Order: sequence, then structure tokens, then C-alpha cells
Amino acid sequence: MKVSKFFWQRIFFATNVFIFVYSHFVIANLSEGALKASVALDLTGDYKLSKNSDSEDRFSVRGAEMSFYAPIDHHSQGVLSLAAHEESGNARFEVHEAFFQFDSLLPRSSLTVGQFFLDIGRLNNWHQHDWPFITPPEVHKTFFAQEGVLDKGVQLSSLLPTPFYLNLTTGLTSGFNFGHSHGPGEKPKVPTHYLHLTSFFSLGSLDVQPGLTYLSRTDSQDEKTYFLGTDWTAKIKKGRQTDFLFQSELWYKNTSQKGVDKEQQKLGLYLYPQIGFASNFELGLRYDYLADLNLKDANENDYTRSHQALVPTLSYKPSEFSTFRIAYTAEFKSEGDDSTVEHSIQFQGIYILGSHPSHSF
Amino acid sequence: MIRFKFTIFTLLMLFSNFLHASASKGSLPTPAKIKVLTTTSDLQSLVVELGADRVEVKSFTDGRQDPHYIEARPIFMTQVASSDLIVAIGLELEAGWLPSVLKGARNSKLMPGSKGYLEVGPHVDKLGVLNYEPGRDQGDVHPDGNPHFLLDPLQAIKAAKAIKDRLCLHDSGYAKYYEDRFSSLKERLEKKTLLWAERIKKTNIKEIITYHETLTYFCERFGLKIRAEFEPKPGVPPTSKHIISLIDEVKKMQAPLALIENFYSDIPAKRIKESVPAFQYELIPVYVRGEKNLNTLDDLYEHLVQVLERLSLKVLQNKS
Repeated sequence: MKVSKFFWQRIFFATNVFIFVYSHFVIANLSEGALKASVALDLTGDYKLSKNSDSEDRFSVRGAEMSFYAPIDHHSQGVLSLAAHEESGNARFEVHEAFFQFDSLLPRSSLTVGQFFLDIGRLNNWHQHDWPFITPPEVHKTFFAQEGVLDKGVQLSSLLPTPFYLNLTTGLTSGFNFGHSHGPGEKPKVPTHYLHLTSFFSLGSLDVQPGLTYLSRTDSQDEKTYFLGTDWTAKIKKGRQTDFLFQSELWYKNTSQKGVDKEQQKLGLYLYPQIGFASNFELGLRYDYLADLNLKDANENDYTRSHQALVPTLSYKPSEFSTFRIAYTAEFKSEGDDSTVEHSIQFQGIYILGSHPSHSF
Repeated sequence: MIRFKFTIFTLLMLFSNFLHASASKGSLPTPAKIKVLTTTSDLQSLVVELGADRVEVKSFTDGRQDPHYIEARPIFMTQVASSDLIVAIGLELEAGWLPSVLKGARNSKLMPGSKGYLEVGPHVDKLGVLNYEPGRDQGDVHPDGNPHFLLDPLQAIKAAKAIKDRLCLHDSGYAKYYEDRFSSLKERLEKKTLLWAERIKKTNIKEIITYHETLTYFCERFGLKIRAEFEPKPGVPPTSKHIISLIDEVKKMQAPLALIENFYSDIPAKRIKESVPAFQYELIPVYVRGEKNLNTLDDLYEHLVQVLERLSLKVLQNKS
């Protein structure tokens, strides 16, 4: 029996209502103790301004996430986040993060065991409702999926004993899937393994955090993929307002197949400068770039394919617990001799209820 | 090949801990001075006075910053990782950033509940304690009490006592040293408080307007009433509607005065002055090092008393 899309939308709506009613109960009853609970709602609208745009042309609940965290005992903390997503009009309710974190097992280190977003680059470390813009940059979406890379495994993060800030994260995860997949996947030849090194320095009132990432995996079909990336975050913050933010990631992806004398190379980046003004407003402009570096056509001639975008974004933050955004997206796609320009507009409303963890840099 | 790569990877995972182990070995024996971090410059000045040459103290904030909204800068984590004691205000003043710093530092000796972590808030007589859990519609309320108690010299003495006790715990061989320094601070502040109270009384100022609830303890100690705040609710910037209601309040005041914490904007005060020319206001420091030459809490209290004296003269001049 085929179930209509409308049916799933109603189920999705009912699920959300349940989550929020239940979360109010949970927050009221549990947040007073050591167990902290929070709910984050991420509403987005994505509309075409040109006929050729890939925009979904609708308003949706992109994510509703309920998080719980607390010390389990004197050794570890537990984190559990459950998320409801609307994917192609269908509701999906899933466990997002579920992990143990041991902060005192090893000196200056925390060991994470379970399912988590991998500590790679910048955006992958942050829940989507905490991003400074609405849509994922093209490089992030293509390399790591809409939200980012989520997997099961172990991750060790260590603050190195240097006079300046230097943090090294290493991780090993199952690698059955890569990105944000719901299928069971297949056992990889080499599981996902990665390193992320971050540092920090100040230039006057400008604080800067640079990072370097290496990640690799070889799937069940012997296709090896590795990524090299660098991430940069710079901020000037005065009081509650972020006067200036610059965020950027540059990624190189290399894919090769055992026994095949050919490899695919892609390069992508985004640059996002943003200024704060009028106490609660922020205006940013994101530039996206993604290109294939070594494509060949049927005649083995060089062939180009690239994607660029400009995304001006205006944010209004009445408090740290709610944000409203509007963005315009102009995408410039080029493949061989063809090129197109697509226009779309996005809206976003976010709120956070309950205890929200204190903010990282 | 794969086995080789895994060996390399495992070695890298252990690398950081090896580095740490080496560094720890090299850093023995324990340094004589206690390495202390404070969340505000006020607390730093107290630790300096109590510990003098027995302590090395750094503050996360510089006196011109609002400690509610500090960025959890990663360099703070490096500092926490290699310190012996952290002294915080507590009462949720640092709730937006300090937990991230402590978590990032991963120093179990400085986590809440440990010997290396001290919140002085629970050791003072608090104002503004709520007997219910406030909703966010009430603004950034601190249900366990207003955290700006160090602007009352007598509460500062209680905070200093808590710090002194903790320094004695860390450095018991020098307990008498800390006790003597605390006694001297207590005696001095108690005497000066009487003199400051007398001078404020002479100004004839009975009530003031402030921006945030920062001066609550100061006003309580020296018999001043806070008539209104620029913020309609704690942590909420002033709205046009609220400024209009403030203009009405200002018109009713015998001596229309406002003290504005110097990390907030004085634009709303300028708007009030346009409507009520007799209205006087001044941007004031509310933390040690909030202005040049304010290096101790004594300097800060003295400065605030002088501001009131100055404003009272202006009011008199306006009337005449």
C-alpha cells in the first residue's frame, strides 16, 4: 500500500507537537537537577526567484532537536540528542548524537565514545541551528552532506602542553557510511580516521582560530577518499554583540580506485565575512566555490565544472535564544561550455528552549 | 601498508599524551607561587592584595568588559590547564562562557566542586534572590541573587574571606601570612566605608537611575534608591517605549541623576537629556581597571563617591 506524502507530513507535524509538549514537561522537571535538557527548532523557507533554481520552494521544519546532557558519574558525561528532520517532504526521527565523554581519564584530554559529529573543520563541529548562515556552503554539502559527517567511533581531543593554545583531535570511526546517511552501509576496507589541529592567536582585539584537518577512508569497493582542509575563524566581540566575524574553510578532496589509474580531485571553499550593527543585527556575505580539478571528456580533453555562489545574509537576534534570518542566493554553475545563473531566497527562524550549553569560540 | 598506516595513526593518537607526560615530568618540582585565575579584575585585585608575592594572578576580563558576555577564548583554556586555582563570582554571572573554558581546559583540578575552583557568590549576603524559577520572558535574571556584590565594600570583605580561606588551603604553610593580610584589608575597608557613607549622605542624593542592576549593592550599602533602570528587563536593551516612560520618571525626580556603566551606550541618556535638560548622567567604571588608575577596589569605591559628589554639585548649579 502506498502511503501519501500528505500522510507523512501530518505524522511529522504530530511528532513535532509531541516533542515540544513533552520537552516542556522534561525541561520543567529535569533541568533543575544535574540533567540539562534543551530543544532547538530550525524553521526554514527556500523559494525560487528564477525558474531554473533547485530550491525546494517551500517552508519546512528543517530540524527539531532535543538534547540531554549530564554527568553520568565521576568519570564521564553523557550526551544524547534526538532530531526530527523533514527530508524531501518525509518525516525522519533519529538519534543524532549519543556518546560518553571521559574528561578525566587522560590528562588534558577528553575521550568521546559513541555516535557524534566528527571534529573536522569548523561547521562540522556545530549544530546547524548554531551556524551563522542558513544554507550549507556548496563545498560542505558536497563533501560532507547537508548537516555534516556523523559516525560511530572514538575520538580523542587533547590540549597540548604548549604556552599557546594548540589542540589536537584524532578520531577513528566505523566508516560504514560517510556523511549523513540512514542506510546500514558496508564494512569499509579502511575505516574513517582523521586529525584536526587547531590553534589560537590575537591581533589586537581580533581573535583568530586557525585549524588543519586530514581525513581518510577506503570503502568496501576499495575506493579511497582523503580530504585535506584548513579552517579559519576570526572574531571581534564587544559585549553581547559580535562586531566582526570571518569564517572560512578550504577543502581538497581526492578519490582514487585501487587498480584504476585515475583519480578525482575536487577543491572547494567558502569565505564568510560578517559585521554586527544596530545592537541586534548582523550582515554577512558568503562566497562559495567548488570545482573539479582534473575532469576529462570522452576524448580525454580537459573539461571544467565549477559552482560558485554569493549569499548575502541578514540576521536579527533578539536574544541568544532566537534568530531570524533572510538570505538571497545567486548560484553560478558552469560545466564545459554551458553556464547558468540561479536565484533563490531563504528565510529562517530558530529558537532554543531550556538549558543551552555555554558557547565555544 | 594498511597495518603500517594504522600504526602511524595510533602513534599520533598517543602523541599528545606523551607530550603532556614529558612536560609534567619537566615541570617538577611544583612552583612556589600559587597560579590563580580570576574571572573579573575586581577578584584579581582581591587575590593580589591577599596573596601579594605568594600568588601569580591573571584575570579573564579587563574591567571595561561586561563579564556576562565574554568570548570563551581558547587561550583561556591553556591558562586554566596550567593553573592551581580559579576564582569566579558565581550566581550565573559567568554561565555563558566559563563552563566552555573549563570544559576545553580539561583540568579536573579546576572543575566546580574541586579544591581549585572557588565561587565567592555563595559566601556573601545576596540581594535579589528569587524563590521561584524565572522564565526567559523576565530577561537575564539571576535567580540565586544579583552577582554585582563586590560594589558593596562590606560584601567584598566577605568575598575576600572566602578567597583567603582557599589560599590557606592551597598554601597552608603561609596561613598566617594570608590571615594578616585579610585582617588589614577588612579593617581598612570597614573604616573607609563609614567615611564614604558620610560623604554620600552630604551629597543629598537620595535616588538614581542606572542602566543595569549593577549598582544594587552599592546603593543598598550607602542608602540610595534605584528609581529605575534603562533596561526594561535585565539584559534587554532599552526600547523607545521604555525611554518615554523613563522621561516621565526623570521629571518626577528632585535630583534627576543617572549612573551608566561604561560598557553600555549613553545614547538613551542623551535622548532623555534632550527632553529634560536638568537631567545629569555620567558613564562610570564598575570594575577595577574600568578606568585608568583604578587599580584596587578602594580606588573604585572612591571614584564612585567622587562621581556622586560631582553630580550633586551640577544639580545644585542647575537649580541656582
